[in-house]
Amino acid sequence: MFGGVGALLGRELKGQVRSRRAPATLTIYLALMVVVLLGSLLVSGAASDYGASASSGQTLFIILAMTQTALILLLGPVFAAGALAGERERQTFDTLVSTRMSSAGIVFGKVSAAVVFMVLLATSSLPLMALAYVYGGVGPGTLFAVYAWDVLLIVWVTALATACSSLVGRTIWAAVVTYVLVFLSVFMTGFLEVVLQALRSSGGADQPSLFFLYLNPFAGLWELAIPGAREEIADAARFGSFVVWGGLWHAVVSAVSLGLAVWAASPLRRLSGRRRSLPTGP
Amino acid sequence: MTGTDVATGAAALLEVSSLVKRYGRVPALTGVDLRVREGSIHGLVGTNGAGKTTLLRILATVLRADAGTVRLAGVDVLSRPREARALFGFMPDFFGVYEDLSVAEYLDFFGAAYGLDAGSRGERIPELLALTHLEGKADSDVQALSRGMQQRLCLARALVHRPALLLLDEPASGLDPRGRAELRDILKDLAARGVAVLISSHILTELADVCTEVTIIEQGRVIASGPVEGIGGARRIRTLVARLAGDPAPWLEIIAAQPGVERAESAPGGAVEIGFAGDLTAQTSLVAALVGAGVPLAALEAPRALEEAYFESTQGLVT
Repeated sequence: MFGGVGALLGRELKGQVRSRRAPATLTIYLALMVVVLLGSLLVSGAASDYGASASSGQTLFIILAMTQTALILLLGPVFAAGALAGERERQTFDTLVSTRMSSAGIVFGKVSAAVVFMVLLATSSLPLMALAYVYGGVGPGTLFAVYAWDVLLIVWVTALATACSSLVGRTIWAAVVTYVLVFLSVFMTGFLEVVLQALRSSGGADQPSLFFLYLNPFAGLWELAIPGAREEIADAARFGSFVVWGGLWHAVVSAVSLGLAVWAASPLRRLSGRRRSLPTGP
Repeated sequence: MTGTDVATGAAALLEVSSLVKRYGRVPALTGVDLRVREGSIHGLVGTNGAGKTTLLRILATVLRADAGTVRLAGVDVLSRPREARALFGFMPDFFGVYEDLSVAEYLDFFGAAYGLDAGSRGERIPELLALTHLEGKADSDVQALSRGMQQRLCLARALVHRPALLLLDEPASGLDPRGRAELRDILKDLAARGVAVLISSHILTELADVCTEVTIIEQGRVIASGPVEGIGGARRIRTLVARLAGDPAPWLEIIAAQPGVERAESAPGGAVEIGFAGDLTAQTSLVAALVGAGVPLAALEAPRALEEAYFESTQGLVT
């Protein structure tokens, strides 16, 4: 089923490494992270304050983690939206699907390549994140948990973009649709949560459900990166942990997206059970 | 499990039966039957929109058929496409290449995509480069190759897994005369190695040069199929061109009086166009009769047999 995935992964990574896009993206990503880091240090005054407290380190870490997650959501579609639409645009799709690779193999090869590159990108900022240690207040467990959450979001956004790439014919439209979906996940869920809270308050409900925040990719990060947030969420949110249920939601969306991408990548997808015999003559 | 052609005794590698394809309400193929023998070069001739590309894309399992059966070396292509893909190589009419790879990397990737192990790929790539006259280009970037070289590279890609059948959709389009001649030589070489080739083209003279069999398709249906000589020779009247030493005018009546000659007319360049009813044996007798009658015959050619057969077969159907 997944024959040729390794070959496709290798081909995609070679293409990424040899293109100008990869070093340009890496440079922009790290430059933005450095700008945010320096800006945070200057604004907080922690850069010149030798007695800066552990809370300064925590604040710095939270800002960097939020920035990293935002950049992942912004850059993910860039690398995955062309996965299958790009093959169609380059007129290489027919030659690829007429090999012995299955549609699932092709999709997983493409997604794997995008995920690997995005994880490498996220990992490249580890030295910047480690600066938070200088100030204390952030443990290695927190750092690991934040990176694990980001990996989940990388899989989620690349799966979404690959599904759009498979369903939409052109790379640019696949990227646009993915950005719309990401925007809805980030901002619309927050807006709907505010509306829901207002409705519940007017109805006299005492405990907020925070239902829409489970769909928000930043909610899990909030729980993992902010000290004490887990306990607050356990008290306030009706369904419990954002990490558990939000993670499950993003994993399910990823799985459904990949399934859609595989279905749409099959050139014979409408064939199943519908091929019929010619009517016979008298 | 392959069928056997009654006329030739050769095994039919590919058998297409009652194939139907519609795009919405527009019929693209309306019950196409086709047989391609092992080791043959089978031409697929037709106008734009005749259904050639649709047929080849269905055979290549990149397009769904609405009805009919396709068997390749006993494998049901429509219901077991992945199994069938090991048996054919496909070169579409419009294709791109991965320009960020070298020639060897390109072939290696597709070898892996067809499930070949690293050792087999290592042996196969130099063979393919030699076959397609791309020796010395293994480390060249694909994007640096000329159009003709990319065309041959795509052919090499289609052959990487040693398929029994090669499906080529207009492979000569965009090639210069030298490129076309090289492609012809490669196809003949492949046929000599036992690979069957199903090739579509608009350039009929080219197909006549290289093909052993031909199928004429129009408006989604097969209107003639068989050996090239058979399709040309089965027609009642063929056009021959006689080239004479000197002015042909005094000889027209004598030529027209020969057995089998329906008409003899002057043609540009001092030639005589002869409408002739007869097979190759009768044509040989005509040469002897003309020489015996004192006609200064320098050459007798039938350069457009396939072209004429095509136009005669499709007369009135082309819109």
